Amino acid sequence: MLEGIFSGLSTAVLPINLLMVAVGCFAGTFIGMLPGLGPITAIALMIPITYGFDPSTGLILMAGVYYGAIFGGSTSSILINAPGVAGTVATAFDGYPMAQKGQAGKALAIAAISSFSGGTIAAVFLLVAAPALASVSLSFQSGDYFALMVLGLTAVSAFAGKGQVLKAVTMTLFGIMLSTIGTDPAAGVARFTFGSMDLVDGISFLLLAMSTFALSEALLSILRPTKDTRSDEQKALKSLGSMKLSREEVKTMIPVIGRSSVLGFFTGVLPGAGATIASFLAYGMERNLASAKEKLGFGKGSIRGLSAPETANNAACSGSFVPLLTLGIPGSGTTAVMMGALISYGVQPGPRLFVEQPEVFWSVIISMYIGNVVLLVLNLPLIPYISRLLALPQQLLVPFVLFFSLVGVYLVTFNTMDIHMMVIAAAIAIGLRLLNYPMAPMLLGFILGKMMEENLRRALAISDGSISFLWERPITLVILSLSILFLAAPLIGNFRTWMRNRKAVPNDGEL
Amino acid sequence: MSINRDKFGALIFLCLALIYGSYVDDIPLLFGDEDAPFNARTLPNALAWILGVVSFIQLVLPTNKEAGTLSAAFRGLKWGRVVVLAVLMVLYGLTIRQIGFPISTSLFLMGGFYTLGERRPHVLILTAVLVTLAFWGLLYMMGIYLTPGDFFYYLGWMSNDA
Repeated sequence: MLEGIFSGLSTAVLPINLLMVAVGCFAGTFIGMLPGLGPITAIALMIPITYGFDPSTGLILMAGVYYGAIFGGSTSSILINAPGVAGTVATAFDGYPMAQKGQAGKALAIAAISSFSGGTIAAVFLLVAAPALASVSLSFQSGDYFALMVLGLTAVSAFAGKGQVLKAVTMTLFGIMLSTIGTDPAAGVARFTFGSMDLVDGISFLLLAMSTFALSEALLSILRPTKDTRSDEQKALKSLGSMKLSREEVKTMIPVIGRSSVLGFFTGVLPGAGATIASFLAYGMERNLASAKEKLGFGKGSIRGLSAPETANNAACSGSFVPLLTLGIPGSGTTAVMMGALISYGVQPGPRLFVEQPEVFWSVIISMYIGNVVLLVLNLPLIPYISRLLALPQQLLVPFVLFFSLVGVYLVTFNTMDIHMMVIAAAIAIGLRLLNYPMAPMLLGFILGKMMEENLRRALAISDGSISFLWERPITLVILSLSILFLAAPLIGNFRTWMRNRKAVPNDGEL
Repeated sequence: MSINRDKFGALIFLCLALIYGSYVDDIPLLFGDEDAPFNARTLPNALAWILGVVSFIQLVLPTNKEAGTLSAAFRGLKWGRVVVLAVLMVLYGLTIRQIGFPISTSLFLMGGFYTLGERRPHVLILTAVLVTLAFWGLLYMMGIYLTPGDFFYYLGWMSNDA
């Protein structure tokens, strides 16, 4: 393991990789601060750029973008109460009131220090947990992998939010359906290609990610114009105030950071949970632990209330790499995009990655730590300068996003048909977004669909066509039981609410 | 009558499941695969059934009034500019080979800026052309050469040996 850490360290500190961490954090912060564009779009836009690099460098750049986007989202939350990313909504609860009191600089410093500490502690956990889990998962069989993928997909649906479970399940199934288009890898027969040569290789992951996130988000910002918050953000940045923290304030933050890091990391490891849930859980936990007097300060600029979600969301980002790197199963839309990129580089994430390409595995973990240092040392002082980029007017910004998305895909295949397919996919994505269908489960279903089919086919072949492999090994049975539990719990909850409402209001027949 | 947004979505996915399911039988099977426990049709068949059942459940479950109506979801949207941008993207795909990357990209960007309300000629032209040329140069340095366009070869302005 030590050898692996040193190999990772030597790869991570290569000048090109250090540069990529810095560039990633910088670009991510900028995109995260823009209203409407999230970390998935930020990472998707980076993929074509990373094709020219080796896998470690590419993944390091994307990890930097991920952290940067979350940090950028926090900045908008604190300064103007407009979270650019769902994971930073809880940050606004106490960050924005602090900024209103004229302590925006202090709030940004608390957010940056908490993010740095949460990310650092989580990176240490990752250093221990990832190899341990990778070693255990080496003994996994096809049936276990199939069960794990089912768990990943059901968990994403289960954590989708109130009233969204069935929609998330629908989108997951839609994603798996899209993955069946093209040549069946085992039998070599064409499926759903309708005679088109452009579909024989299936739909490209990059095309799908770019059109359903980058293109559709950019077009939606035109279709459903929201208040352009960039000028407010720039105004707020002009009166930041001091960034210095007192000894008392640091003392208050230390235990919060410790607790929220642990909570955030383990929430991030769970498939489907992630930065958003982690930040809300940490905020709730701190509020419950606070004394009656401190509780009154929550929502009015409490240091604990700001530090907890910021620590937890960054720790969760690191935690979400555990299932990706060790099991090859992404737990969120963001890690799904990274996994798609890794597969395109020819790297198969999973337990074999730890054995076969330790430099990729370890350099990513080490670079996470470096990324946190970059965010604290470089990004925090640079925030006012990054904000100047926000002066780029929307009428120029949107065509640029469209151009980079289209060209990013075109440069991989040099097939103009892909550009037309992107327009169609973006139109469908806009329609689905307007109907309130989440996009991340679809991407996850698309990525895991092929692997799930392959593992199910192999497991059935080994067990001679019998489905007994689902319960013969205790590990498979436990994982599948968890999947059923994850899926059933919100459905039962919904059903009970409906029953209660039905008793209260006897008739409801509207379609 | 305005249908509930969630119900409309469920209806669309139910139709999709039916259409997808109806094409499953078109998937060719290798000799002997018909009786195999898992063949190229197994997963698509299962997916069509599961999606059909999930959408049907969503359709028959009590209406979620918070979702609002379909007309409310599509009300007040600015379709005009989005449609123009979509047309521009399609045109970009059609012309990138013919008139080449530099010209088609510059025109696409200029069209995009204009559609979204930019009217200053120096911003429109200079930004589009400079960004395009900078990007083209960057790609060239990375070893990716995008041809100036078939059109110029037809005119005989450029050699095919390039």
